[in-house]
Amino acid sequence: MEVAYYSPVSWEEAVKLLAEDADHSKILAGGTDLIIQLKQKNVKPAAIIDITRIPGIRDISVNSNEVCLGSAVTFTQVAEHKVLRGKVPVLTEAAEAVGSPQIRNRGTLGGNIANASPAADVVPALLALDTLVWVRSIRGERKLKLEDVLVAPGRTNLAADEVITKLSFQIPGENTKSAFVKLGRRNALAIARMNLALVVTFEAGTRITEKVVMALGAVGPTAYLYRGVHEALAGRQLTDEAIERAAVLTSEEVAARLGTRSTAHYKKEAVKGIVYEAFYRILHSEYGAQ
Amino acid sequence: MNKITVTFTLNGEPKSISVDPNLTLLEVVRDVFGLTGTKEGCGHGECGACTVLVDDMAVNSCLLLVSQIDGKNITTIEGLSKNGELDIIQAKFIEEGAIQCGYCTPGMIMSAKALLLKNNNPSEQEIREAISGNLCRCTGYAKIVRAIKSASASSKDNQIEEVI
Repeated sequence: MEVAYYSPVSWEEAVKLLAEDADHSKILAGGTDLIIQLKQKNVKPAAIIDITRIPGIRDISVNSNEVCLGSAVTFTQVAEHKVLRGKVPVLTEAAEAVGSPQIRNRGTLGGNIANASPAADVVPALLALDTLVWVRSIRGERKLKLEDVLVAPGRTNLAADEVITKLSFQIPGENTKSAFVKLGRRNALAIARMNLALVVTFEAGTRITEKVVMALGAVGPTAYLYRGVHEALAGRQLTDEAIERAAVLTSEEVAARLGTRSTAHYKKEAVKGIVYEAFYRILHSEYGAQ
Repeated sequence: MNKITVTFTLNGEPKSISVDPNLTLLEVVRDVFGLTGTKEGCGHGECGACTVLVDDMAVNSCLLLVSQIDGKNITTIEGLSKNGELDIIQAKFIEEGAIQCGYCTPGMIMSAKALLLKNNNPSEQEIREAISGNLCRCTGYAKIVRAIKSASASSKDNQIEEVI
């Protein structure tokens, strides 16, 4: 079958091309998921629209209170961005955990969301940062909370003629620390068996937690925000006992989510380890929002 | 069959080709240009045997479509040696015995090249991370890491530092 290739140089051009045959078109950015799907004939598009030449799509901008990322920002760009590492290490650590250097040099944040793997690595980090996803079509532009975009494995809430243009989130306030932990079968080139993003806000100068935002991935059809740890820990000192409590609660949550799946036995135990690891990193990290 | 025309540089030489747009960069390098140093180990980005440099960054060539290389600089393993002289990384791989069957070697060396272009004095940890996308079934990686470290230490800048 003949596939048409397009390389638009503006969003206007891109959404117009996409609208022509939205149900049979695929967006190409990094290609690290799409090209595998094309080779396996899981998808057979009539048109492939490469959006990487659109100006600004690889831009990272950080101002005093907001971060804005073009949807084709690569994992390597995030991993190498010193300001992002200082302010939101959870996102840096998530980007560094993806695949391999070769995959990170090509794969994009927008693609990680749009591909909607339950094990996507940057998704929990972006969820924990309350990220907004900006999308465009010929019908206009809209923005959605990331948690509203994720629907099911391989499926987002976006219409066929919509494309992600950028992501944005507020920089966490002072006294906020964050971390990301990935559990894979090996140290690189591994799909997450579980991943976890943690953003903890302390009362100034203390170890009393004001807010705990936890996002869990690869334990359900999509990554999601788990609020149980916040409810248990808010207003309390972050002691070893508190962290232990967090681990137990998260374990119960994972067990409930996975039900009778064969992975439940392993994951409900293993998640405790990644909860400990995430809190350990937060307590010992030199980074956090300045 | 419709064709796509792409223009790029390959190992320093300008090229322009008109090919099936469904080809991957790996197929272009091997089948169009006959540069068979780059290998297909898995075809889906999990082994690194197909690693080449695109604008000095290591990528899995099996995961790039030919349409994506327009205007880019592509470097394959064949592009490392100059005028018959091996690149320092190639020389050190031989010297350190970092090659057994040789199948991972071109991709491994390209990942090492990408690292040393950005960081001419990497730590062992940085070396291991740089090659974490390249699988080797023979060597256990120890001599590969040693060869890359040795290649970095051999660069002129580092030699001057050692003397001081």
